Amino acid sequence: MKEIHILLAGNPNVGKTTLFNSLCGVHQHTGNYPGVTVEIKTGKRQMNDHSIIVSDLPGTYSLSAFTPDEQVARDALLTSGPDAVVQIIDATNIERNLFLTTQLMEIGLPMIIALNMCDLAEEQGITIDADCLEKNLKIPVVRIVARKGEGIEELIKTIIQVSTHKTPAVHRAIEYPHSVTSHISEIGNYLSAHASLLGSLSPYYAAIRLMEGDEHLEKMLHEKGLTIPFIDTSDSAERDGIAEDILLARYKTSEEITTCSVKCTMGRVMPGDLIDQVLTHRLFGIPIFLSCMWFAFQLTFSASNPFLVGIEYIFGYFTDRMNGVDMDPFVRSFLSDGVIGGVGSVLVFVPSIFVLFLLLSILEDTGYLARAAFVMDRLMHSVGLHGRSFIPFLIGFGCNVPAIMATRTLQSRADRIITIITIPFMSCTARLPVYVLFAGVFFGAAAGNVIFFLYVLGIAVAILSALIFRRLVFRDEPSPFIMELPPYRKPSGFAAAVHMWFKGREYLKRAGLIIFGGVIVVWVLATLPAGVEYGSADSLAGIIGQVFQPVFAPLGFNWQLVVGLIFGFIAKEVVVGSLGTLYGGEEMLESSLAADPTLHPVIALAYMVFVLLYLPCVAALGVIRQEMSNWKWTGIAIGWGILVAYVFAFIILHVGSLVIGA
Amino acid sequence: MVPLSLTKSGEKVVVRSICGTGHLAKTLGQLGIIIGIELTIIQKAKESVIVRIGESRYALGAGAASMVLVEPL
Amino acid sequence: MNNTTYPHQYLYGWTGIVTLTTCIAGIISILEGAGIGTGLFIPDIPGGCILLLIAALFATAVIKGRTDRPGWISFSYIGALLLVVFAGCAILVETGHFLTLIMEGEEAHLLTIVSSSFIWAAILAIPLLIGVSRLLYGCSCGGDCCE
Repeated sequence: MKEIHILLAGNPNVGKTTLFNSLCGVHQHTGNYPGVTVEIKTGKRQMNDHSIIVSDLPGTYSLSAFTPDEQVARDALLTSGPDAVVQIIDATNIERNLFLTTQLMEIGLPMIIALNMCDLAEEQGITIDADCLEKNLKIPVVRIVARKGEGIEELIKTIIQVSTHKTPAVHRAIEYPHSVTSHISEIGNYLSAHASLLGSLSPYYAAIRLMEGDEHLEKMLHEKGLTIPFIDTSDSAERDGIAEDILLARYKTSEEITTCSVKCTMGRVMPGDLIDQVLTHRLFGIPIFLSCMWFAFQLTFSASNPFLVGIEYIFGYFTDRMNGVDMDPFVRSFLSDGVIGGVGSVLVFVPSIFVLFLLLSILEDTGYLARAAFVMDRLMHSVGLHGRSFIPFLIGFGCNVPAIMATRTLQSRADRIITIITIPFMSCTARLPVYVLFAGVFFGAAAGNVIFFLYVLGIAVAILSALIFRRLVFRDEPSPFIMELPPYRKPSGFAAAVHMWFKGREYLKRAGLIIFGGVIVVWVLATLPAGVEYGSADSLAGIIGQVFQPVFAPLGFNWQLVVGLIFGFIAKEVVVGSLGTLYGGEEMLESSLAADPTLHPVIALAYMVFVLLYLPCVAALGVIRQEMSNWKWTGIAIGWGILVAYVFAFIILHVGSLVIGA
Repeated sequence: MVPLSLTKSGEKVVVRSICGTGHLAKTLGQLGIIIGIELTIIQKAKESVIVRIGESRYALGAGAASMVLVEPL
Repeated sequence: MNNTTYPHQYLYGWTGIVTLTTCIAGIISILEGAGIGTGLFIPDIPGGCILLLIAALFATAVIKGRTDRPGWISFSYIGALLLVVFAGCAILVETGHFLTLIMEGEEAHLLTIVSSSFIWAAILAIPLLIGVSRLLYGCSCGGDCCE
């Protein structure tokens, strides 16, 4: 079985992920690049006796790496030594895509071009002479329509052919002006003498990269003690001039190739432009966006409800079956409170997560999400956030973990840090059961309004935190907003469903295990020491709660609530479960809470606010640590959350008590 | 010559100059916003703008838009 | 409105009608939510506000139609599209509520699934959507609608 490694590269929004899914189907997994949380999807495809291993790189416009995403793509292309690189090009926008091609060609790796969205190009009256393109670039070109799975077989055959062909790849050379080529020779000759330090990079290619301004490479060579001619001897104006010359040469090449191979037969006025004028209108833009969000949340909640009821039925069924069987009470407790409770806690939030991912996926595929980011940017900029942060915030309402991972598209470190610190204030779906429980018991008919208030409070606190961190700690402006608006496309329900399935599955694997484990831990602590009444004040859980209770006395929380908070650290879903355990059973939880003399509506509200704000679950903290890459900022994020939670809960308790007069 | 942030919806302009040479200018360059290129202004909000270059559409916030100087065609 | 051929005239008039109907649907929804029941639609204050927003989009389309035909096309297209999409969402949402009630063993009426005001407003807007989208996409094949 011959193994072939290939990398999938291309601009964002060209259908890389769709092609990847077509190629590898279910044979894929997501891994991390060492040191960074950027995820690389790797998958496998067999054909005859070849096994092709495909790595899906993040989308980039060029190899100059400004965001962690782009850096990962760059590193993979320059250092991982694949057998071939497949660049996916959007047939409706070839000229812009060719810019990246000019850079990829120079690396010297065997290349294949997958011309995607040929059907859309045809619809729009664009004819592409693929042979001319091939001849011009000296790279094989395969037409595909990834969405429909067309052309995939031919692509795979071409990949195998190119990878097993042992002669070195010779692509079209870019015609640089003399000013550039003289320096390429100068630097290239110098580096040839030190070729061993360059790894697999050719000295002349390294010269081009240095002149384009690859800081990473420059730093590496400096560290090895090299003084590079021209790079180290000229001033920044000269270097910028050369970089610009290279840029212009690339564009000129792309233009030449396009004029020769692409013909547009019909007059093209863009309906997309007209649509943009409405959706990004200064008056209507934001209300339209808010309406879409309103329906998205409505759909999420009402679609997941039937599932929740169904899950309750199934559990009731299992519990009844168990009650009919004779077994050791210890085992019974383990099975019903531990296992069923644990699985239940996980399943309870699964439907809403999947639906939310699906909706966001569809919105993204249509291209609307980018417009929404633009529309919100002005608002977000005024509170110190970058417009791009808004998509992570949206995701954060489903679950904080993927939201924090989504911040890797932000360029500046300050933007990323501020966004990561404020994401946990977006109330995730896991906290909802706590609100539903307490609001339901203590606020009756007004429960819906109370929950709405909590969500709004979370957003308000996020804005406040962003302002504070931006003005007082970082004291600069968010980096400028530049974003491509992809063309409007009909979302493929199937592609969105596949996308949702994979994202949801990953999420379940990570978070599900932690939550399940958390519930088991609660059960253990509630059962020991042996012989103690399950979940009483004498159990380990109760003892822990009573030890920490004084810390929370100013907030009016009793020891059971404190234990809930501690376990909420493991996973927010566990809060309700642990409270159920400590109050003598989940079925009676509501009445037990209502009957507890130490609790009343104001304390309930303070508690809900604390749960909303204090700190995200262990899974989220793990991701924060990875993204921040040091403990200092992670600690600040944790500390800030707890501080804000305590302060707000305190204020609510005391102001509320005054208002009620209790 | 006016910065992009002061143009009007529907105008067709040509890029004459890009202020600054840092990361921002490089990012703009990679997207195709270089001297001599033609843009169509699709939408103009207070200081931010959506432009079309050929087939691609880009949204530029206030900071970026004020760095690109253009001339109406 | 010089040089309007028949289809455009009808569509333009229809835009005006849809503006009114959407506005009324929105107001009724809000009134229902505030307790002034007519039993026609489901009480839904935020939904009513959204309907008023869409009515505003249609109104803008009508106003623009006098001088700026592309503007009329785009605003009425988006308004009609949003209305139809949201109506679809409303059906799904109400189906979810219905299923939940059924599964909990409570009383539920099948009719509630189509009782959202969005659906009725959207039905009226469908002809507008079809007509205007033809105009809109006609542009991309070199038609004469937009300029």
